[in-house]
Amino acid sequence: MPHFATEESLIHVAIKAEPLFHLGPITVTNSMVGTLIATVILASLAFWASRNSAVVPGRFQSFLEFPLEFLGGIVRSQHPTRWSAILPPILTIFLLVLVANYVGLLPGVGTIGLHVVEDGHEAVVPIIRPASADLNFTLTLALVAFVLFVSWGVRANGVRGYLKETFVANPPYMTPLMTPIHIVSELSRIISLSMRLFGNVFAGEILLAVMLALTFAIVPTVFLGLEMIFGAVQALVFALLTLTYITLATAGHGGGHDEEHEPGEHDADDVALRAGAH
Amino acid sequence: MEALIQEFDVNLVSLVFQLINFLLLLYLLNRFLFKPLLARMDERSSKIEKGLEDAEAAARDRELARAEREAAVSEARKEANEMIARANKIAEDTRNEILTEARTEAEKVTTRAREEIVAEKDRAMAEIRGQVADLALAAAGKLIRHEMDDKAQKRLVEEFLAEVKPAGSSKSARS
Amino acid sequence: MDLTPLAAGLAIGLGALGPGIGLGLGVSKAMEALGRNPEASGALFVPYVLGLALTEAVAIYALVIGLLILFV
Repeated sequence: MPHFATEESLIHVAIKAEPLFHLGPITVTNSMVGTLIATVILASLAFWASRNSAVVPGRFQSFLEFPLEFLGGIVRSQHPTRWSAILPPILTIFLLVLVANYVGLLPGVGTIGLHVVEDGHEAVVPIIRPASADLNFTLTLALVAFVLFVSWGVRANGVRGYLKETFVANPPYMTPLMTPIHIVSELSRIISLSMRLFGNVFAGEILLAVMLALTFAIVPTVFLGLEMIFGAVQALVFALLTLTYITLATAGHGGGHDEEHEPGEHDADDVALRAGAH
Repeated sequence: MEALIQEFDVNLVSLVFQLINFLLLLYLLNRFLFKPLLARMDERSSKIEKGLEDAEAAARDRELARAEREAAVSEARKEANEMIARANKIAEDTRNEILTEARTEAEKVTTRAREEIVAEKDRAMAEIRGQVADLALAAAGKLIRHEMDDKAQKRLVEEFLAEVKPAGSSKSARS
Repeated sequence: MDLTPLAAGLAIGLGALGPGIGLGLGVSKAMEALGRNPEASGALFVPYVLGLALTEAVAIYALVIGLLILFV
């Protein structure tokens, strides 16, 4: 049962992106449209900034500079030497996730759709689906984050150093026990990153749809405001977690970082949290 | 896992599309958003820093100028005070000098006047004495012309003169 | 009788229980710290948000499990 959209229900819930049309071998889904909209918004902002930015910022430029300044400050404080290389991907992730989340809150998104006949009954396929409610999108970003922190770990400690740090436990005889845990914890970052974002946005979409179906005009507005906060927080969380994983990967064993606590005793998130604290 | 992937519809086409989209966006944002804005922000912060430095320097200069001005004013005041004191002293000296001069002059004048007065008095005295003798002689002559003869008259004058002489000699000794 | 919706509801309901308590504890501690030391808000913010996100992830896992039970 892929859809809730039966005759008596107004709630349209699809856990995956739905195909709109086929472009040769490529199936264009509605989340791709959402992604493209977010990209176009960001690109036009970027073009605006490249044309009109001034030393003394106007209102709009201050608004654009705010995430730059905020995340830039955090990245700078954690990576004083490498911040200029680390910052762009983090910021891109943040802005893309933020705008993709907010695209889901625009009126018409998820409600304006095409009528298709599927599995014998009629269904409405929304033209635009917020990109972050598609696991492909979040998984891609999580993979990008994974590639980022692995490559930074390699760049900071060398291939041998990175492998040693990741797969050899502190007392070497513990290695056979710890290595699988380490591998799982590293890989689970991908799953947790992508699932967190997907789950939040998807649940938010369902929440909005349910509220819209169950109640009248004012109640969904409250949840819409709530979703705006969540959208920003989730974007920030994704960016900050990526940054924290990079920080962890670049920290290395050289500085006696893991001397006082066994790396295997806590799961990756716990260590990441601690690293995020300083 | 199979079911999971299928249910979430994770497929290579979407993944590749998202990846390309992300990389394109990364390039665009980095090229057109982050770099200009970061450059502007750096420029601004350096400008602000410079402005602050300038302001600090200006404040320092102002402070310096103020101190200088104050020093000049106090110097001038001291000088003026000195000048006034000197002038006062000169005036005092001059006054004293003039006063003493005047006093000695006055003293000189008074002594000379006194001397003159004394001399005048002496001269008048002598004159008066001569005249008094003549007058007395004339008056006495008129009074006693009828009752006395020449002999008695002569004796009387002689007696009178004798009486006068000791008094005149004593008077002349006094002056 | 199809018990799948019940299973899904139980999965998300019970799965939200722990993160709910955890989030409450985390926020209460953060507020306490903030009340004691308001100047630390800047230093607290990033670990606070990360901690909340990591706690909340558990509820999200439960949601995913619930969705899987429902749909798969």
